[in-house]
Amino acid sequence: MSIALDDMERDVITELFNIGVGRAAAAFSTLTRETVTLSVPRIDIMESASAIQVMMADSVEPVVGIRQDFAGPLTGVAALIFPERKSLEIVQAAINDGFPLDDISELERETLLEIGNIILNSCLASISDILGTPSSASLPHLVYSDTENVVRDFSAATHPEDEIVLFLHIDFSISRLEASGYLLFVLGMEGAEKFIAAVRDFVQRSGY
Amino acid sequence: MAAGKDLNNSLDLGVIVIEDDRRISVWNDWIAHKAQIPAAKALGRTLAELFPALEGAPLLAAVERVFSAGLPTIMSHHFHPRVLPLVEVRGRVVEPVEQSVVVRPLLTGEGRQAACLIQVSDLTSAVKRDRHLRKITAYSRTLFDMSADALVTVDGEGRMLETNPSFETLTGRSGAGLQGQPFCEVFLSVEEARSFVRQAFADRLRHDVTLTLRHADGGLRHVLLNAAVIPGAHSDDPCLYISARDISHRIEAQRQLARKSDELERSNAELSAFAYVASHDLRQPLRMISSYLGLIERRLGTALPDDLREFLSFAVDGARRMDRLILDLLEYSRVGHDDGRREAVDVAEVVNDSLLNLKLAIEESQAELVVGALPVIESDRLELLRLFQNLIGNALKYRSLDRLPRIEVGYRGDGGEHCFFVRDNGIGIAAEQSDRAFGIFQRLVPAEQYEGTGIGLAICKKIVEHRGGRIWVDSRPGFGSTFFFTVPEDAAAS
Repeated sequence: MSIALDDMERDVITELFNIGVGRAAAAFSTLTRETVTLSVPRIDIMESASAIQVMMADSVEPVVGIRQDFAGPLTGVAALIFPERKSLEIVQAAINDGFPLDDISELERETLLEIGNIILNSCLASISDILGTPSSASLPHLVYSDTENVVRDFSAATHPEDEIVLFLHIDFSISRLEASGYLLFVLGMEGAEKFIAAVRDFVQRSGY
Repeated sequence: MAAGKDLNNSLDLGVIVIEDDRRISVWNDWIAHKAQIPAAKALGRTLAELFPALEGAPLLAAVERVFSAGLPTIMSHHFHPRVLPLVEVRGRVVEPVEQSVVVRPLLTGEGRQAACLIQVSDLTSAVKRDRHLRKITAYSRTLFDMSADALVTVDGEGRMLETNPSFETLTGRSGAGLQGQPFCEVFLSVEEARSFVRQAFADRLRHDVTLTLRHADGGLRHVLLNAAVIPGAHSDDPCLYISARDISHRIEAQRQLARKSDELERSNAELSAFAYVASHDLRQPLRMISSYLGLIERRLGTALPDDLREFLSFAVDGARRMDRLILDLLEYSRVGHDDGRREAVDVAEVVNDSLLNLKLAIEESQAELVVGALPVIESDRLELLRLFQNLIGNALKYRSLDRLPRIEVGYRGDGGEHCFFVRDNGIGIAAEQSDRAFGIFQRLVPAEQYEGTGIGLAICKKIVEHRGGRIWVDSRPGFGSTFFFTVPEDAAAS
């Protein structure tokens, strides 16, 4: 089975994820009393090696990720990843705090986890919508890595290089801050096939 | 089950379990204590029943998300500071509990969704510490940014880490342009700056070292440097916190002052020498004029017609007055030449001597003299004599023609200085003229009426001020004047 998505399939999932992150943005705006917009401009399914290539496009740089493992009809790892220096700015913008953050404290770490949790939950809910059955997920935790090692660090598999990754760019706009990061869903070959089958089924069912 | 209950109650965090009918099945001791609701009251009821205010709140939405999608929710303190109305009671103090809450599914052995676990942590001390940290950070940040002194932090390699706006002004460089640059190279003598930094790191503290730095415009600035070792911001390596105070103006002013006072001293010395020489040499021809006029008068004897005799006497009188004037000038120029001479002087004795010197004038004017109690002070005897003689002499001279003169000499010590006065019942001085009275060659009354050179009070002023004192007059025209002068008690004051 081909894991490549055709245009129609890509459009449908992009739309689905945008609805998901749109819900996350609304939840955010309520929490922060700021206008928060989130969008997922493009979705790809690719091998992890290609994902590393895309992420290293600029340079090897430290990243911080919020990771949630999920299980159920679909099993894998979901991660929201930012450049490390951006993560501070995002927390700062989200809590609308003029306090200079040199380093992230326990309280801010938790805030970053909640931000990741909101976005990942909304995306996982979107996946559940496609697969038609609810999935369960672990609590989020923070992982520090860099763009070169990120796929390995966010994988549960022994041979992460063989893994298939659902790869999404995500753009943030909080207060005056513009930032972008990545959403990764590391699915494995089996999981990816299952997911694509579900997407195709969804497209057919929805009569696109 | 009993072990599970014991476990729940031993935890230092709140545990609530909600069954899928939304009723509470676990309510541990921690949460019972802080919510002030015993388990007996909470079990079997819903969260909304226990806390009606939670209606529509994110906590209930998170519980629903667990049951509908199996998704966990983290509720961080920043966004949800007090999810539940929990308190910590310490005696009479009731403090709200700052919280962080996790809502997650509890799965059965088969991985099926069984219930919802709410876990509550007490973050109060972390939040307090965080607030305290923010407060002191804001405080020190404001201090750093607003300080009029230039401030900079320097790492162990001598590179600048942070600079405040004053430092940027002092050096004429932007903060971004300074960051990471070698601190010592801002200075004119890089070696001196390096030794300052080395010493400061070694001693952990360095005070008041003056160095010269180079402004971006090429100009030089003198700065007073102070430094202390503080822990580094990003690592454990210590760094230096340095304050640089721009003292260029002070140093320039000190130099100018030294230059000016040199000039002043030189010109004063020249002036005194000039006055002394001039008055000394002026007397020579004057003596010649007087003696030859005397010879002419004697030689002509009775052959001298009356009008010529009168002319001659005018000329002699003129010469005599001029001699008086020159003598006074000489005296004036001498005041302050013998500086520093001090001895214990009995002022009563000095006044007595001056009265003896003025005996003739006192008898002539039939003046009544009243001398109060006078102290022994550290001063110059001759100068004091001149002072009193001048002041009492003036009192006799400017007496009122309507009454017999009454002159009182007195003393009052106050506030670290001796204050003497000479009071008379003479013609007085109009208030607007009292300052002029002390000027050289200033005469307030016509010479025909009261003879004098107009130097007497100027000499008094010079003597008093030379010794660090003040002199002034209180007067009512027509009623009399009181002249006051002070002598500082502290000998070093002059």
